[in-house]
Amino acid sequence: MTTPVAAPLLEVRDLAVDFDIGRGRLHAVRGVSFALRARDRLGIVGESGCGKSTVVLAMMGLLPPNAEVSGQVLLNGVDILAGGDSSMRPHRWRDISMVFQGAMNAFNPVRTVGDQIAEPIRMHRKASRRDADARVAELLDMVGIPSARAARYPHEFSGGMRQRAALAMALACGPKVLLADEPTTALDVIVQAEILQLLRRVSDDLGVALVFISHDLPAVAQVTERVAVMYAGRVVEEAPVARLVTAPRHPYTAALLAAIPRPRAAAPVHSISGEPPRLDTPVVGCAFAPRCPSAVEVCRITEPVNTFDGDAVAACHLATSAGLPR
Amino acid sequence: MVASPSGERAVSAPTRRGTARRLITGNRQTVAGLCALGVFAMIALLARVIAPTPVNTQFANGFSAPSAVHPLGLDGGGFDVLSRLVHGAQTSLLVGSIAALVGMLIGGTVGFVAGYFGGRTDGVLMRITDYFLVIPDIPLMIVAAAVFGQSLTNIMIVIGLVYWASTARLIRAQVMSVRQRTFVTRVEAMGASPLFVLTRHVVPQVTPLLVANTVLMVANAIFAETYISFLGLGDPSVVSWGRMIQDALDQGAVVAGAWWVVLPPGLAVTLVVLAATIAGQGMEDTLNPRLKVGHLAVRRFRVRPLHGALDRP
Amino acid sequence: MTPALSRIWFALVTVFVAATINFFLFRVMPGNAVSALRCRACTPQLREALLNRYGLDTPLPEQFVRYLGQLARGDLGISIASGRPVWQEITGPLLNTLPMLIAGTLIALVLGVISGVVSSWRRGTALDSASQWTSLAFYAMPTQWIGLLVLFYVAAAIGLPAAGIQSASLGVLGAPSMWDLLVDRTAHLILPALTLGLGSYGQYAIIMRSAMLDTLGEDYILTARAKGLRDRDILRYHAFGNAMLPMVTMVALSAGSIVAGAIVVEDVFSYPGIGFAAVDAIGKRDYPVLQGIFLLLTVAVVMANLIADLIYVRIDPRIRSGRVAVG
Repeated sequence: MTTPVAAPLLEVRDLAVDFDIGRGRLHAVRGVSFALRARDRLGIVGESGCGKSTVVLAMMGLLPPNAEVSGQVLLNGVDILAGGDSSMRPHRWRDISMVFQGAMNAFNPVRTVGDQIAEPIRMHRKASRRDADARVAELLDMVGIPSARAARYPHEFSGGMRQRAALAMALACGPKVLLADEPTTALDVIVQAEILQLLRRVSDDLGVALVFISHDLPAVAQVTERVAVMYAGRVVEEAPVARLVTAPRHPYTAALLAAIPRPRAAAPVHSISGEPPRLDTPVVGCAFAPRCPSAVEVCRITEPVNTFDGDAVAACHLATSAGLPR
Repeated sequence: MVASPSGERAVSAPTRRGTARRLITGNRQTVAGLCALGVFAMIALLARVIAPTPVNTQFANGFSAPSAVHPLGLDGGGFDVLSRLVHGAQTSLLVGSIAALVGMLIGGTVGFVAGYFGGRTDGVLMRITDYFLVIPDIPLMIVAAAVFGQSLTNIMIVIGLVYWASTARLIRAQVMSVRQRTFVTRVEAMGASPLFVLTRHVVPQVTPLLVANTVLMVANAIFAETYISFLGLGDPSVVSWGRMIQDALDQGAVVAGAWWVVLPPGLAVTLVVLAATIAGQGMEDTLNPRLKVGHLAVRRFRVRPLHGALDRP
Repeated sequence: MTPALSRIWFALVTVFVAATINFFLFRVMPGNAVSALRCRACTPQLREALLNRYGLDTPLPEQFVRYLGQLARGDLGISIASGRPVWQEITGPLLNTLPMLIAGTLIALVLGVISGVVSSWRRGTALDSASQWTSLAFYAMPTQWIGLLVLFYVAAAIGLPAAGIQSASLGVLGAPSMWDLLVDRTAHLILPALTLGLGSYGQYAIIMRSAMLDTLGEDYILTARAKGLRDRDILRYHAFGNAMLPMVTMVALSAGSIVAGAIVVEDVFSYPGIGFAAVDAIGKRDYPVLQGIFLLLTVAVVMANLIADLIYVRIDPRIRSGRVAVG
């Protein structure tokens, strides 16, 4: 993990999540660490099931009862995870908030959108109804929704508008960290672009630190400055966007990049053969080894450690500072 | 939203024998309920054998507390309560099962036909079903029972004729959903006759649900029989639990403090209905496992200390 | 036809169907309908008059039309036992039943909602199991038996009247005041209503728990938790409202069984309501009264369903505004 120069606003250390699934344990997250300062924008990419959503849910303490979390989530140096749910609750929404995957259902269908955006404001800040409504109008304005819509119900909003409303709701209490979990999935391209632009603007204008989760690497690249690539519950590479995209140091990252379809090039679409490992058994060696084109003997035996190279890190036996091994 | 991994059971391919076995044994509730029902059925079948004394013999002129000879005492008419209870099991279970069967046959048929043929047929049949669903069942049964007299057979038919509607709706929904599944349309496209599709594909998928529903209906039917007998519309020549409850009221058992007359029949009905309900619900659960993730729970996620907590080879 | 109108039409047709069933039941009885009336006090002239009145000497279709006409005018026939119009016989009892029925339903609702909420909130704990088993047990008990148990164990202990609707001692020393009457009536309806409530709450508890669990698994509950709301706030402001929607439907659907419960409860407690009148009519084989009551109950249940339907449409905003996406 690279150490930023200034003291980090948010630091995740060795976060690990196990699920008790009756017939065993699922090791969904196996030691994830990263850090953010104010205004930083970090992307987390990976396939479905790599654990990226679990990481952010764990950061907010929203996992179901069969989850066991270990590690630390330090907000301004204080571990908000340590005391369990009761120590986490005061920080929710005020310091760290979230835009969920599938904002379609994040709203209660029988209450107005404005009501639900106002709810955390009235609760955390003890604001009066009038003040809260004013703030709601302000927030809706910021995300580009006419404030009259506040009195409407969620089903009266289109998908893109609901996502923007969810973003407005997430910013209601002026959080320092915003976690966006697949905010653009299931939206059409034009709306997607709008949302991405909105996220950038919010981070710039409000100084919010952003963690952007997606399986869509190009989308992530448009918004964030650093990207962490996750595979099978671990971060396998983390680097500034430009560097990651041009000179990936982990074979999985390279494969992800190669798998992005390029319409103009008319080149065949490369997919990654095989499947991610089942996480209900402990992983031996590198988790990606079975699918890795460059795997060698040591990859199957020993789990790779992080190799640092300036502001980038990769967990691969073969990584060198010049990029991927040839 | 991210669903937590929660270890769903693998649902096996629906083989005929496999489903039957799974239906009966797949769920602790079902097994418990069916066992209890089995016990009651045995008691009912062996009524004459296990009743300690003849049921129609009057032993005294009025109430008599439980004793060694009469374990549940004598009721207001001087009859042995335990004997009546055991014989009553015969009536209640018999009426319950057959009424449920009648209801299942009617409801199942209507449901099948409506679900399979759809269109106009479905519309008409469902309209009729809806009327029967809305019209209050017990009052209708009371009127019908009052008119058709008080033989056991008539009671069974009356109950079945009133209760078929919900089964019809359920079966229709299931038939429609099965019918729309791709493998059925594929088979039909291959030129299979409706009868073939019906018997080979639709029936095996729908029957388990029908069975589960029938078990639940047994509970309702026994309940209904208790009502009808209690109101004096039952067959006067046989003992039934509903009758016994009525007798308890009419004979002034409450005033006399004769708890041995008041408690047993109602308790018996409750236990049988409970058993059937649990068994039926258990079966339905087996067929439609609904794993619900609840976001509120007493126990929260657990936070473990850093050291030595992770599995590393 | 708008949805509201089609529902009303359905309600009317249902009542029509019930009336038709009534008609045919009466006519298909074994033997001559009048002779089957076992009318002990009937003189030959009365029998003639009855035959004529019911038009049993005319062809069937004609009888049916007359019957419908009579119904439309609110004529439910004449009681065999008393000779008075059925209407007169049942109006008084109906007014007696209504408060007891409403009280009983409210008790059932309150018990059911509490049980369901507690069960779902403390899901998986002993409290959940206890609550579920209790509601299941009461659900399985015949309501008349619950009544007997209440009579046996509760009535004497609490000292509440266990029979009838008015104390014999009331009015002995002079005309009772409005207030005294009210108190007395209320005292008499407590035990029957309690019995009815206990016997009926089981189904509400089951539905409420199920609805709450469904609601608690929704994404917006997770959002609410993410916002930092406490559990009890989440339950109150988000889960409860959504879970109550299916309850509205449930109340309508259960109207039939509540009515059935009311009949036996009135029998056990000798409460002179419509159920008691029905039991009385059964005993005397007073078919016109019995059928009149059946028709009345059907109308009541149908109306309950209709009202619940219409309410549901109003309170669920998704249905109310017709799912129009704006923007």
